[in-house]
Amino acid sequence: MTLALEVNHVSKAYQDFMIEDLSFSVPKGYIMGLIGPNGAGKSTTIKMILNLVKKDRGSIKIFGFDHIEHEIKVRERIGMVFDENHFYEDLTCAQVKKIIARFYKNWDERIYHNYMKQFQLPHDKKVKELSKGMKMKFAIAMALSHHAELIIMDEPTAGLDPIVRSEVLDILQEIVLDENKSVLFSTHITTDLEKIADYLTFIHDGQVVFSEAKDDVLEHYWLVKGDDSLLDQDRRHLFVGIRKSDYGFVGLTRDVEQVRGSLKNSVIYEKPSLEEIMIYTVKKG
Amino acid sequence: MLNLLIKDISIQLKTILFFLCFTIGSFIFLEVNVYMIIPILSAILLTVGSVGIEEKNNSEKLVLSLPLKRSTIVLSKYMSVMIYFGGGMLLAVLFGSLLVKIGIARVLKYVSFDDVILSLMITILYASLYLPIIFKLGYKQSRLYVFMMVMLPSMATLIISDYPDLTKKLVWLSYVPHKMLMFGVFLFLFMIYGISMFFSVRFYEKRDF
Amino acid sequence: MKIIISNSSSDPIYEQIAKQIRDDILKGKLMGGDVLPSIRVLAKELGISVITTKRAYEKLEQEGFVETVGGKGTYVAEQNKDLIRERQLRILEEKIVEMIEVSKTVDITYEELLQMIRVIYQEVE
Repeated sequence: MTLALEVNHVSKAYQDFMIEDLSFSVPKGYIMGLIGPNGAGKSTTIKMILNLVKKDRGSIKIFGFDHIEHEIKVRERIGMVFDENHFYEDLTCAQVKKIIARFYKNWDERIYHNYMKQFQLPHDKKVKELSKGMKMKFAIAMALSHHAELIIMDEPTAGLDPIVRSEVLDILQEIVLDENKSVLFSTHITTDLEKIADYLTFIHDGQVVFSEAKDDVLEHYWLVKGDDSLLDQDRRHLFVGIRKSDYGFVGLTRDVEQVRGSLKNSVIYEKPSLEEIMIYTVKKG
Repeated sequence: MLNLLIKDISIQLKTILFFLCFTIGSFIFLEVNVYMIIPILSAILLTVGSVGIEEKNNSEKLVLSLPLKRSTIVLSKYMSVMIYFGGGMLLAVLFGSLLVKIGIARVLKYVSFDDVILSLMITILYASLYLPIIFKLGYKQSRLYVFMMVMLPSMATLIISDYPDLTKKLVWLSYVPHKMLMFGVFLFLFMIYGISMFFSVRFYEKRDF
Repeated sequence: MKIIISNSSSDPIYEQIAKQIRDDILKGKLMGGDVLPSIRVLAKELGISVITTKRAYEKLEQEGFVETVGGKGTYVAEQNKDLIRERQLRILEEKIVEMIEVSKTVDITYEELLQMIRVIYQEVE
């Protein structure tokens, strides 16, 4: 499998926060969702990929090339969408496009106009006059118009209404209709990824909790519900995270066979949502 | 590099228009050496301004994710200082000559060689000092320093403009032939410019965004 | 071809897709040689991941219902006799269910039904 992006053992230390030995990869032609709570290190990771933030250790390869050594070549092939607007507010869409287009060898005016039309964006409106959703769509149009093969999006759906959000997700799926294109997409809204993501990388406290195919994630994790008197020390270890209430416990496990062996049918087994997987993992036991 | 210059100019069209009016206004209303003030101010304010607009719009991240090297961004800023200086000078000379000819300028004076040389020197010296600060700290954090520096040379210019042949006043220098002196001073200034550029590149390449 | 995905179903999504395509093939709605939509197009249309769709197709391929021709797409496999027999068995099962349901509504017992079948089976040549 060819990899669009490889992050290998990357570390970065801040005074109060640390990214440690982070590794994951995005196979070509697929959508990778980067999930985790706010402050987990998603944005920093994306910034390190773009070299906006310098990594302390490790290597990052994009299409097999080192991201710093081949900086220019690599960036020609990346389309970046940030979480908030980064375009010049006082200029019109057309003016912004004119400024940015010059920097890309492969800028394709035809694609740009198609997207502007598809997203119903006005050429002559100032960026600051666009709604939040329109700004996001404009950013996407700009990121997709130079034949980028790796689209990186940092929280593109945050703060958007459900309709625009679903439109953005549609666009992502449209991108990977071309099997040469890949998407890396960070979000803390897991329902966005539940359906369309092919792979998931879950970051928490600057570390990777898991990085694997979404279908496998959803298959491996189980929620177990039951009477909390059943929980002894040994059994606790079978769970990734446990939440207790007066009425019983709910635990998240990756090893449902062991749990079944131990607790049999005295408890209820359910499939968790991604959100539940995230919450229970972060909460621990 | 050219693309970055075009970008900086495109985002500052309003400021440039303001400079045009400001130039005409200063010729008509101010009793100062406009030939020195306008080029210096346009070099400084437009360079600082481009960084300011970038930061206000949060677009530095966007620029940094373009297929560019960080050093290119730095070098283009140093280049743009010269271009804004040249533009400002051209503007001043054009309007100055015109307004003096018509006779509505406050100071009836055409541009002199010393005006060009002195203002260029000040610009270079000044840019050499503030650009590394901006590249190290970013626009917001370096605003105070930059503001102080804007005031300093402006005042210096006002003082200097009262002594049109300052160079001749410096006695010990009068023993050196004028052309050689100029050459020496420029060599020195461009060296400082170069060193400043070197530090700016190093600062900027180390920064996290 | 119609595929409906239920989020509340306990079957995984790839299984739901595989089942519906399989049913269409067994019922003869999809014939040998028919082209299936590409994995990526189907994923987009259904709003699900490419990998999930791929898994459904892989399952159908393992079961011999479809064939993937590298670079050209996925086709419904020309079916062999066993497959046709299986298809017929399925149809038969459905009809038997229908029969039993009718029987139950009019209180015909299992023995009575068997008796009827035996008689009619011999009558039909």
